[in-house]
Amino acid sequence: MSGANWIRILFLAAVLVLLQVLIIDQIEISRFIHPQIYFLVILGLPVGMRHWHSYLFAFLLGLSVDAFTNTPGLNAFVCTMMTFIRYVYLQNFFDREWLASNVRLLLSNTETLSYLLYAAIFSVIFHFFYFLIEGLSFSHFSETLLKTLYSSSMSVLLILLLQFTFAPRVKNE
Amino acid sequence: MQNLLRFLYTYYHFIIFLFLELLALTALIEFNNYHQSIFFTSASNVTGTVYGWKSDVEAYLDLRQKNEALLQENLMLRQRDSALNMLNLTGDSVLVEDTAKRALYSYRSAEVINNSVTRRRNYFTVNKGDAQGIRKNMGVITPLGIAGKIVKTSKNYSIGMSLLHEDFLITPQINGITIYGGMRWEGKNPRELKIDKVNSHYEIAVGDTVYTTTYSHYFPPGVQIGTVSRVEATDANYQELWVKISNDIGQIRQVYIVQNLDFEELDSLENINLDERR
Repeated sequence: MSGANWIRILFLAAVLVLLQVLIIDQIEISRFIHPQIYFLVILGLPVGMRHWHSYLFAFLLGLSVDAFTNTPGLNAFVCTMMTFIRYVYLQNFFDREWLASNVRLLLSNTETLSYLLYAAIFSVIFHFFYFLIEGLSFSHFSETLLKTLYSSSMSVLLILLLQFTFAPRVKNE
Repeated sequence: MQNLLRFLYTYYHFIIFLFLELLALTALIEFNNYHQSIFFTSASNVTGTVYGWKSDVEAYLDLRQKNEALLQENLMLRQRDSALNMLNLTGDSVLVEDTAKRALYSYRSAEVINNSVTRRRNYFTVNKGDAQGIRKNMGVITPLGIAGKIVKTSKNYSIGMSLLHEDFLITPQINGITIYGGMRWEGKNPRELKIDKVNSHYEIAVGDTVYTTTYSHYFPPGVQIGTVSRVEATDANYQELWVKISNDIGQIRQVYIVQNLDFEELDSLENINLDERR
């Protein structure tokens, strides 16, 4: 991956982390609605990126959010887990040739419906692990499911909104 | 050996993944239990500074409210002060200044620069730390009641464990009765605490005020915590109480940090193993 690509990703990561901790985390709607959106950076990593590079990136991304929320390890764990599952997903649904490329999976270069599915699946995965690990027990399982449902719906909405507003208008060649 | 190397080479992505996950889980469990790690918390320099900026912006938005709260507190303190200074001329005793006694608590003011109420384990960050004399285990109160206790300090910032934290346990007093077993947050409603297993012969009614006791070394006794909002009998012997917190924890900004000047003495005395002579 080129240097310019890295700079773009790191810049996006910084903006989304600040947006998460300074604005979204400050909004109290209900204890069930605690949407995370910064993992959008991971969803948009180039599909051909070396696996361990992206694990390390995801881990550090999570850790930087943890530093703000006093949950050292929680976001790092969930981000790394999500990156792993993302590779499983990509390898099963896309062909090898495409996966070797440097394409970033964004709303602007994917069919709307398949992007929506992609964002929704990973939003649910992210929030499920997030609330599960946050409780550190299975004793609040029904609450974990409810929180996952509400927060991930909110998060998908925000992610689509962000992409509609800011995503570069490039078509896939 | 060669097989092992080949195995490592084939699966190194996965091994790195497992290693990172293990590292994250260890860090999380360690922090939840001991609050030892200073890195990657909101008391670090970078995150503390960012939250400081955020707080500066927000501070302008509620200046009027803040003034109102300070005015109310001043009024209360003035009233208390004038009551203390009144000489009781009809009785047989007269209030005099007493230099033989010493203060048991000292107070510092601070500002909450970040806060959360939506997690199961909530913390807040305050803008004073080691350099300003803040230490672990100091209580955090506001004019309305208790808010939490300090669990971690860095040079210029501290992290407080919020009253809204699953592990925050406090012994309350209602109508002069100390309730053993303690009171804690259930992780749900951010305005309510719960007291389990209260003997049903204690007569406690909705609206009774709940105070701190001398059992907690973090807070001075007699600081308000909240008022009883619900009483439910669980069986013939016990009842459960819900307490409406007098502070709106999500909105706290100006706080006092209370130092119990005898904390270390009390703490070390209570932690002596009384059975050690056996």
